[in-house]
Amino acid sequence: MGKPKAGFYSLTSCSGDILEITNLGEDILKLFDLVEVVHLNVAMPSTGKDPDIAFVEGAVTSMEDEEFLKALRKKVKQLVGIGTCACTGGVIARGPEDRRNWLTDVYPESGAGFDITFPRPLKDIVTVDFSIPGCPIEKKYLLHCLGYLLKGVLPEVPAYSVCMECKMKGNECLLRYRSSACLGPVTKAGCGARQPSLGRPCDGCFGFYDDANKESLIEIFREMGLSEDEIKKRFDLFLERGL
Amino acid sequence: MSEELIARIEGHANIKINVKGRKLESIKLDVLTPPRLFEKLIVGRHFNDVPTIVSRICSICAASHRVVSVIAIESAFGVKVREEAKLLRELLLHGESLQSHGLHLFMLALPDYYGKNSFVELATDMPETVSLGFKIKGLGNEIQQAVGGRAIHQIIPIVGGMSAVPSREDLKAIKDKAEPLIEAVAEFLKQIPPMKSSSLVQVKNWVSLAGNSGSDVLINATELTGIEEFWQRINESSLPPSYTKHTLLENEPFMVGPLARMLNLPSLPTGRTADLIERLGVAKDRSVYMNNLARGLEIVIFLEEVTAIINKLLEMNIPEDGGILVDVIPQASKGVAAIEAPRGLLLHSYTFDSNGYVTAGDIVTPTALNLAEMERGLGIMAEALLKEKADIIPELETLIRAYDPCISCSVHVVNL
Repeated sequence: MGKPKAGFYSLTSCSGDILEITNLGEDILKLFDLVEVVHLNVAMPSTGKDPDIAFVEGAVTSMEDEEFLKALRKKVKQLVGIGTCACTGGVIARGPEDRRNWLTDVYPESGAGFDITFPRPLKDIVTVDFSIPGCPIEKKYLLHCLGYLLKGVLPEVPAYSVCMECKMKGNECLLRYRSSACLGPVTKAGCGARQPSLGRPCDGCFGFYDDANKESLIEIFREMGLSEDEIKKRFDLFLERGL
Repeated sequence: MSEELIARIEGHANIKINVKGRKLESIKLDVLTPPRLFEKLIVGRHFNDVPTIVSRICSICAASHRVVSVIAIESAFGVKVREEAKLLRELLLHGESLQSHGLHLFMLALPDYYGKNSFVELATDMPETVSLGFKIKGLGNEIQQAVGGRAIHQIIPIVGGMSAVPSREDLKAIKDKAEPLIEAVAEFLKQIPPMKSSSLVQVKNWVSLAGNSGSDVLINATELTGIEEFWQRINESSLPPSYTKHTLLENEPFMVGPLARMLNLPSLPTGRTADLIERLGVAKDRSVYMNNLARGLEIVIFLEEVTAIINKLLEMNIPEDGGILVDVIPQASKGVAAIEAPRGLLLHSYTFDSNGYVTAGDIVTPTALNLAEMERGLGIMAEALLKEKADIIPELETLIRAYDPCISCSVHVVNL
């Protein structure tokens, strides 16, 4: 049996998750030893072969994206979403679903002719075997998951919130002591509490943690003096369609 | 008619060529990554969320988008940040350029010079070269990680300053890695072989920021103009199926980026840089392919600046706990800022209400500024090559890669 064939694909995105894969540095050459990479657009021409496992970044925003994704799903054994856009639609999946006015405002001559849809996560279109969140994905988390996936097993990932990682790092709680609207209590762990460790509140890019107590956090935000609109906008940055 | 998805650029684009016999009828570069409408996404948002949102325009130049948006917001609210914060931001941007130039020159462009399909092939025959590229790219990322909080979509630069400070150990480690690379890269650049057909396409017009002013633009090394006036003088048009606009300056395409910056240098530098400019012929030859070598030259210049900035920062003895921040009071206002991103001039403009919520935003990216120029260059090249042969696509692709378009960042543009 040969090496498993892997492909890395981009839908509508900033390409940050694929770039993070090239950021593996010389480790990427080790990755090329373990798997046969059949597609990695930013770095090489496609080999034209079908992969066994496909990693897809970006949200679905056009018929081309949608058709490409459906065709890819048929070809592969496993389809893995990488990055927040693929998992929840990401920062671009905000605002009104109907974007005709936005298009004609920004592109007065041609916007009406653009065939694009509201950005949707992969799971709205096809069956997704596993999701690796993050804006962008975290290298360590990715390697951890790859280790499992390349053996055909679903990865074990943290089932707790960012708060747990933040506490383990011994950070001062931004929510409690600095009245900073941190989304750590409702967000999936896996980033090592990256933002709170740098003095910035968590923005929720890993998506909601399964047992997230949103109501309780909303109540805390209200007590901190945030308006209903501010609370709504706070949740509506990366988390799946906000509140 | 032929259509090909161009490999080894960031994002999706294709070249459409219409040929009759051996004659070029038309040529078009279409951007196929759909628009994400960032200028609309930020309307109604609090100023603190703006840098977080707009950095997602592009992963390769996320730091540039983040920093220029922060500066535009600070300029709107009249915020004066501390010197240490300014130096750290400058260091971060050099980190980004090293990452971006390292990736582009070594992984995307160099395979063309050595007749290889990809850097993976290049790694088999020239492992030291690819390893040098990884070292530059890796150091760029290390800087972005230490100063910005992450290699992509940085966290630390915020309105009012920086939310955290890198440790002295991290700064020293970066300096120790940067110093030996300076000579290594300078020597390597002298060995890059010349490129076939490289003299065909010459830059006609070029634009960059004037020095470090951040407020003036220099056109063709002679004409100085304010950012806002420049903004008024460019105009854009878009045609389906391409999702981006083509920008013209008074009906003329123009180039931004490393070569434009080199051609706009106020006076010839001295020492190592002068020697390299001379040896590589960057200033003499206005071939678009020189953009690749100008990128290499900038790697050397930025590595030198990185060590100089770190020396200054170490002397300043900045406390490592907590950030470097000043107070920010929002007001109804407009803020405009310009920056030299790795691929060239980047412009951000925002209008705020009195509570600091965005009412309008305009963003013009280097790739959008360069698209019309890229089509001009492709046209010249295609016409000349068609006289000799039928399959001209590989050479057109190498030309495109010399411009180094970053397609995900080209897909949103200014309203005029």
